[in-house]
Amino acid sequence: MRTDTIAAIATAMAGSGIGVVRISGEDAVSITEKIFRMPGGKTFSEMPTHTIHYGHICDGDEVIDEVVVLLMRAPRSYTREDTVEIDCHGGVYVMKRILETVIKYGARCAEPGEFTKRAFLNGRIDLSQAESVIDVIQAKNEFALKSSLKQLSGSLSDAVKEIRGEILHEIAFIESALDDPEHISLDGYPEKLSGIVSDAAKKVEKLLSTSDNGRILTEGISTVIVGKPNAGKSSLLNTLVGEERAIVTDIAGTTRDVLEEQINLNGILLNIIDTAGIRETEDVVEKIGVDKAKKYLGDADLIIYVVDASTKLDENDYEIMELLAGRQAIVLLNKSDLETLTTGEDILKCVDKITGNADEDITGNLNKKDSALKNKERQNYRIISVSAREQTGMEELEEAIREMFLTGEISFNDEVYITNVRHKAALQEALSGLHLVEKSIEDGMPEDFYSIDLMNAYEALGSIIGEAVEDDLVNEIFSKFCMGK
Amino acid sequence: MSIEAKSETMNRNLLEETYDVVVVGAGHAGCEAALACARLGLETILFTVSVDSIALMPCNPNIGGSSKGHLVREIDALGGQMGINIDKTFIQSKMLNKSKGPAVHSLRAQADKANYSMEMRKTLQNTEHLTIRQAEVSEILTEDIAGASVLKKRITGVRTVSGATYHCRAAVLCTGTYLRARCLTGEMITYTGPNGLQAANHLTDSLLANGVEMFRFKTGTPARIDKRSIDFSKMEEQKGDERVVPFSFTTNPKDVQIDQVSCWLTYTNERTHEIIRNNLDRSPIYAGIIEGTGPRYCPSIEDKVVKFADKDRHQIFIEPEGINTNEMYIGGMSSSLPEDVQHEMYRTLPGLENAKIVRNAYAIEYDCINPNQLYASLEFKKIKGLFSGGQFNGSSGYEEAASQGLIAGINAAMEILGREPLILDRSEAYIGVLIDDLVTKENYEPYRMMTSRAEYRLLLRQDNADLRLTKKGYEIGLISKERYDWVCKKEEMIQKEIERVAKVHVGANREVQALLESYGSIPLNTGVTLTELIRRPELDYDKLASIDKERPELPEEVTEQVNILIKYDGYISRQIKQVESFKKLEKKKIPENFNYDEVPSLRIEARQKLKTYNPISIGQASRISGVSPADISVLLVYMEQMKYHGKTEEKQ
Repeated sequence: MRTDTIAAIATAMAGSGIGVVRISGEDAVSITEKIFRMPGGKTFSEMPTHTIHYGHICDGDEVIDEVVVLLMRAPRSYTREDTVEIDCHGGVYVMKRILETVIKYGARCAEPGEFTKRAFLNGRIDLSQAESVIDVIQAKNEFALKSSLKQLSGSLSDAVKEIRGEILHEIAFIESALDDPEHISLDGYPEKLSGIVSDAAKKVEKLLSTSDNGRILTEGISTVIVGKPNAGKSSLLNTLVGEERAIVTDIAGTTRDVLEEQINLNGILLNIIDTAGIRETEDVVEKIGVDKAKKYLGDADLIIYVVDASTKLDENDYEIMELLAGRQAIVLLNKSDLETLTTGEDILKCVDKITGNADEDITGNLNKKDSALKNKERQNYRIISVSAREQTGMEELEEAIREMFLTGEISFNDEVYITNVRHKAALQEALSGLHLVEKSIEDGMPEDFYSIDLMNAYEALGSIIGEAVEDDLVNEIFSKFCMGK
Repeated sequence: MSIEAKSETMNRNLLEETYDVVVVGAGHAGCEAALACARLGLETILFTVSVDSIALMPCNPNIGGSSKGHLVREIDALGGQMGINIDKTFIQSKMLNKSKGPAVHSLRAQADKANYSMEMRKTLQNTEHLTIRQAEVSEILTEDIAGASVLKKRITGVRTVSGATYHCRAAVLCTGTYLRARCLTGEMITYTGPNGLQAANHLTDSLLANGVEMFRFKTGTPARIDKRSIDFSKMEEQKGDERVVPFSFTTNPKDVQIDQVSCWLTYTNERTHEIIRNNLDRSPIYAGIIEGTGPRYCPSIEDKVVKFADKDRHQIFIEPEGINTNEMYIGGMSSSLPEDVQHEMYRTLPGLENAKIVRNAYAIEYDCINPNQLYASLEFKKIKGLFSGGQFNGSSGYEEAASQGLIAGINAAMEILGREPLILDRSEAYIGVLIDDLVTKENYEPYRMMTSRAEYRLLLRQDNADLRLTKKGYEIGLISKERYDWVCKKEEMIQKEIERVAKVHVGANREVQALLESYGSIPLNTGVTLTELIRRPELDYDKLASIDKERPELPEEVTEQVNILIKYDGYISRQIKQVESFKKLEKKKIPENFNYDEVPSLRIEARQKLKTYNPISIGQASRISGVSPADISVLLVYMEQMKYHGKTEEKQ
């Protein structure tokens, strides 16, 4: 059907080392050429099919990532169209930036299941798979729709609706005047419209600027803070929240459990999950039971384990660390301003014991274990000394989270980010539509051209909140403007 | 008594005749349908309740207007009659929206109503293979098609109220506002069609018996006032254009430079509105007597006063109904208020203080069909050989009616001749948009064409209707070889000139700078092409003639296209690109007997809608409300699967 060029992140956004952004369609190669800088000034479009190339993905002067690019020309590709796969570092941020860049240079976000659909329609997939293709399309679409709406914060959706309403009103006015020029005059209207459009453009720009730091969606890394009573969890939380650059918002309508605090660390959004009293009782394990704690930990993208470094590790710590086994966590040795009774090495030894990698077991017998395995388990923990009271170590904590995020060590719900990219692309499109109107007014183009670009902006905004155009315009014309015989 | 019973017990009329095509109704749709069929050589009979009401204009006295002017041009390019007929009978003409972009320029002409009607009647009477018959058709005759997988009928003829039978191979229903019509002026209700003409009260039952779903719509018309009772000095004069552009591509522009008559503009005021408000309880609409659905775009004056209460005045146009009548049409003031209120109300307008009403305003209710029962060819999905057009299909307006009549007529002929139907898509013509909207979208009020309904309107201009459609008209057989050749030649000249202009380099010499300066255009720093200069908003092709030394002598209709295509190239190219992706889906045809129940994973709502509309293409399916993009994907995948199994083939 459509042969326009589509793009998507092909790998799960989970913490694999490598991420793949896939582009398929007529312009896949030319788009890639615009953003892919190869050493020695080679030209990507001249490369033969089924070759692999090293280079950098750039958006103008900005270098986004060091990548390896696979070129597969039609028909010898999954979709039987020209296909380019950009293998990048697996971090969510990097993949998202690359996808955004690909879209900026002319591709469109693939619809759910669209690669598979194209593969099928181009005869690539066996017939026996047709039914499952159909199911995938419906299921993915429903999921994407649900998650898109779910991710959309009420405030964004309200803002989009408001801008759309304003745009529609203007289109309806122009169209009424075109339809009934003897009743409705457009004299002096372009000047008025110019103001309205630049206001609307400013609003869209504002939405775009906030989309990067995560406020646009209730996206973010779900973060659980654990620790035994009095380890200093609440003061840590307050420290994080209390910082000027942190943003705290009330999020309504999420289906996760109570989600109280949202913190923005240098553009990375943490949703701190307050497990019904993490601060009041200071004791997750005791209060809500091991099972529930396990569930929270299981769902978490990031675990911050707060240890009171001024006391010895005790049974509470062992219990928590058993729950953490096999997971990645940041361990904060809090109260580093006091006398240190627990060190990083103590923690790691404890990890060894729990994972059965200790040099000596609990009974003191020597164990010969695979040191590689031991190191692997140990690497799940990043240990940072902090003092919530003195506010030291916070920068290292931020840096650690940031690094884990960018390298993809932190995994989280990928649909959210896809949705975000889509929304951003739609906002961009709306914005460029509005800018075109401004330009048309400036150039003295006739009024009927304004409504064409306004309509594009209106449609783009509609795709964010899942509303099609249908008969909106005709209804608006008839309800707002008095026309006719 | 039902028609069946009547025909069995009482019908002793043995008159039987056979034609290729029966057309029911001789309004704007019926005339085009009958002419198209007869001109294609098919024996055609046209029924009307009154031969004197052929091509009657019972409402506004004009043809064209925004987007409607486009329709007339398209009718003309396909070989229809409306454009020629109005060129012969107009008394004032205007190109609307001239200060706006070329896509929304629209011709509108005031017609001499009586002349319009008479000229059309002359044309019909002088057309070979065409028989005119004054009679009310009361029944359609059908037979079941044997062996069809779904129950489907075929048209075999019609019967008149007097019992005569007319056998036919195809029929076109263009009953306008006549089916079970009733007119309302306040408490006064008459069971007549427009202008007190006889209503057609029987055909609805026959249609219902054949499984056709009916709607009931309403519309209205203002009063006509005696010119001698109007004080025009209190009104603003509205003159026609100094240079008139004809509707028809075949009309010589010299022939339409006539002495024109004027229209007049006046306004309602607070007193008018007060009278209306005080008498709303006597309005049949507000009193709930009217059951039909009225059009929002053509509100009665009482609707305007109620819905737009913040407006302290409404514009009212006083338009002549013809040269040989002193009746003036009060445009903008249709009403169904009682007679006494009408008298009081009209007389509040400046210039109408002593107005004498010749004909009262009234609202009219009538039966029409739910047009989703039609294919885009305007053939009934369930009754082979039965076509329909005009207000019967739930539209409104003379031009909308004529457009559908032409297409329905052409396709009735195509079916008899065993040829492919003519289906214009949304990227080809306003007619395509009109019919696609009617048969695909849910329609709850009389449908009127508007430029905003055409998403590719930059391509569907009134100035290029001939370039878009003449070839199709020629293939159908309604356009002469000579006209066809001219359009081909015109296309070539346009193309050549655009190419030439792109190669003309203009240097920054004194002559050029002086010319630019005279139009307030920024002087050149370096040489540019003529194309680039034409694109400047303040310049155009004609203005640059003096610095274009090698410019060939070209007809105005060619240079006009050159100018538009160069000036708006950016927007036009964008729409052409959109059309390309649109066309791909239109080309994916869905087989007629496609079983949606067999498609797995379709959502229930989508399945029901698809079964109801039975779209002909994936493109049409995608426009049905309630069918999501995912449903379309599912359909595509399923159809592809069928193709591999050899169940069907994709028509490209």
